[in-house]
Amino acid sequence: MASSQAKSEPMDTNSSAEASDFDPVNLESEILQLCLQFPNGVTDKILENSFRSVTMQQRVSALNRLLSLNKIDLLKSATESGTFLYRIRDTTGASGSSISVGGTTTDQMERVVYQLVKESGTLGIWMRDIRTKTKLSQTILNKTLKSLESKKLIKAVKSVHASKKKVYMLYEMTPDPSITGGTWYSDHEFEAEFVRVLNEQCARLLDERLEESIKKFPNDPFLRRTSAFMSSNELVALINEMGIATVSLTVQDIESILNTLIYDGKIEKTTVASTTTTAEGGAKQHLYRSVVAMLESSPVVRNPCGICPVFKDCHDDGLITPETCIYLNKWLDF
Amino acid sequence: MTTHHIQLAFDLLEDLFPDGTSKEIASYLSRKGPLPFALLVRDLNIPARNIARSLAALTIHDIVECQVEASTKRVLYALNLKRTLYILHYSKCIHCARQLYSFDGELIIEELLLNGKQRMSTLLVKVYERLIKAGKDPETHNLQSIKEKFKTLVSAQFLQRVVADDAKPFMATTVEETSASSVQIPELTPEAWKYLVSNQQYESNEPAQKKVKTSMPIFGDEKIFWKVNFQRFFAYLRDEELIQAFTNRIDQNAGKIVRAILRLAAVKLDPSRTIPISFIEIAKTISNTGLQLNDESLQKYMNVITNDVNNCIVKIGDHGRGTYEVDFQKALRGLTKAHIQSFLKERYGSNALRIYNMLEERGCLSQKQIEDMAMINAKEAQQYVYSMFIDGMLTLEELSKANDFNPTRTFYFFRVNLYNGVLSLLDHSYKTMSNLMQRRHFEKERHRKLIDKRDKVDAIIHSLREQNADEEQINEVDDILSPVEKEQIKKLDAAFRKIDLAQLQLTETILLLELYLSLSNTVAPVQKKTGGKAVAEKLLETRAQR
Repeated sequence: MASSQAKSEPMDTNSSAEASDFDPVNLESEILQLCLQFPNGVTDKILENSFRSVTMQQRVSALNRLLSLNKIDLLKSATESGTFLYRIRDTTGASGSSISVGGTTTDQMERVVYQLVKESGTLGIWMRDIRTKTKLSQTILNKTLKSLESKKLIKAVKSVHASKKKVYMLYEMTPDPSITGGTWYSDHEFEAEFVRVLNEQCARLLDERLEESIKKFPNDPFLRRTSAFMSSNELVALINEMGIATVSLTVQDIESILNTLIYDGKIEKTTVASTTTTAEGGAKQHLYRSVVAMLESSPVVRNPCGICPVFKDCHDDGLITPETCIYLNKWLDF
Repeated sequence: MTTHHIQLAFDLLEDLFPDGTSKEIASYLSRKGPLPFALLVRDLNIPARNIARSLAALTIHDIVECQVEASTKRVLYALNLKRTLYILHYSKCIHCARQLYSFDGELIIEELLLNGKQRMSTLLVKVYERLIKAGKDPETHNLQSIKEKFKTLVSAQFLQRVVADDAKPFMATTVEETSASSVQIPELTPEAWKYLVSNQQYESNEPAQKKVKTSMPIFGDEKIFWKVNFQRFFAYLRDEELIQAFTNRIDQNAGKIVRAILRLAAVKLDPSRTIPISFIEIAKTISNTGLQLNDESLQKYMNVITNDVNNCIVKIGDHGRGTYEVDFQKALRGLTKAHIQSFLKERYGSNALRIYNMLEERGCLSQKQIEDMAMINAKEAQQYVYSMFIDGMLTLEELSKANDFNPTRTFYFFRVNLYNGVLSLLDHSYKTMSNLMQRRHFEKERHRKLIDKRDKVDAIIHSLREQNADEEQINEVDDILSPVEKEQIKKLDAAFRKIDLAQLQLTETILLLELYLSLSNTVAPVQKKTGGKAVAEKLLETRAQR
């Protein structure tokens, strides 16, 4: 502002005569239209070239009015240092109008912060990132965020992975699953119980299928094996029917549960090319089947020494010896 | 060669040779390496004659080996630790022989195990005497039948021939019997045979008369000794485990089919794989054993079998309607993994097992990734991972982002290391075995008076029964033991039985793990010297304190 005023001073005396037959509102709308043509911003130079008939002072005052009406943005050009860009501002949102009431500098910052938060979409933006982008100080930024929050424009969402970290996003947005953790997290806590229940249910379903197949084909091991398989789609349908979960689970969710069952050693998985043309089929299907363990229990753990918590401290002549071991005493019934 | 390994070897020696000499000699040799006789006499405070006798006994059992030092041509005695641990498997071997070759076979193996090496003639006589004493009918169990059993044992390679080489008069060389050379059972000279047979008749007719000392004839096998072929027994035991695994996974019939395959594959060119066996041979063997399976169902079974137990039975061709091979490396790997998994599950919990399996499939994972993928509480996951790491089942790998290993800027990856895991589990089993043996010894000492009393009472009752005494007298003797003592004896017996059973089952695991180690080609991976283990231990400590 200061520089443009400095510029207008020498012009003041000689162009005042021409200004009388000029329509300032027309100029504003023309500038606006020019800005709309260049949505990335109109430089000072372009304005000068387009409106040769207009004096700088008139242009400047038109620009100032447009700025105060929040119809355009004043930006510093990145390419040519020292020049300014005027960009059309998108005022389609109702929220835009509520901010435009008032005109103090904090409001400007709120707008900037709001813009950043909006751009981050469903992932949200971390406070430190806002600070680096706007270069505002900590206290001012905090005040801005607080006022925006009180106006119910943005909200803070706690991340499930790092409990200290808060990201800000627009009020109406639903947070991205990566922050809330997805189906397995509720209230930022891992629902171990829920996962365990689902785990057991899936195992039970597969076990029942195995028993069925044993009964149906007592003499044919190959058919027994193939009929014991269940696909992940089937399992999803069954689990959703049973209504254990409040939300309906996707195939991805069930597959992650089934993976944990595989690692438990209770089931095994094969992949086949899908023969059905259902919407969820896709190119390949995963089949799961309950298996019996190779070894029911290793002899190492059938005696107390295998699971003794103080095994490492047990010596011939120490405090803990096999001769006085309480676990052995209990085991031998002495 | 850990402490526990050596300790167990000494315990076993003490068990087998109850006077302490053998144990002392063994411990001294293991500490100092191969030594000549003179040094042993000088350093140990045992009379030379005893040392000589112990050494002779140990050498005949192959527990101590003779080596000739090249430079000075002295004879050195070295302890063979591996052979000492074979003592663990004695009972299992005897049981195998009993199952396959009935009572005669069992006695032959037992005698050989107790005596190390023996000539066939002495063996036959001894076994015969034992049979008679055990009350078996001398008609069915005569010398001829024992000799036949001996022949079958040799042809199945359960016994090995040892020849005393004239060139090296004090060393015995084991004859490696290949399939090409036919095994030669030494034929006893006719007069020797007559001597034996006449002795037998002599024994049965006049047991009370004093034996007239006739000059011993030449038996014809003076220079040929026999000993037990442990490797063959171990192979048999391993096969049994494999069959058991298949029976658990599929069903009984599958187990029988696998048994047939393994029997056909008894001849091995390469220790880790068998010769290819065709489907037709399998079908023939199956029908011989009486299992009613038509070709179609056999095909189906083979299909299912090839997909199980770590894919150890592989189909390698189609000639002969399908050719199959057993890959023992894979089989042992699958079985050892099962043992380790069961160990982890019982010791740390099923969640720890989940983490272990996950790491095995995925290669390496960081702590954070483990927590996410395993769907376990972060705190618990950390505890499991670090406990397994301390026990040696997992290894830690550091990958630094910067040049210095700044902890905030390095990735820490955990990996599963089967070799280390097996070593750790084996060590654990050795120590457990030592513990059980120690406890048994202790209990026996503690209740020695009671046991002695019970033994005396039993002997008296036995002799009374032989003399057909009154029931009253027997009851009187029985009452020497008060009811409280009887209760104690019963508990004691039950305890001993439990310990024995646990020891027996433990030898299965030990055998399997050792076979895996000997067959696997992996070398122990080089572990970087990091403070990881110390950090992990400290972490668990602080957690426990909290």
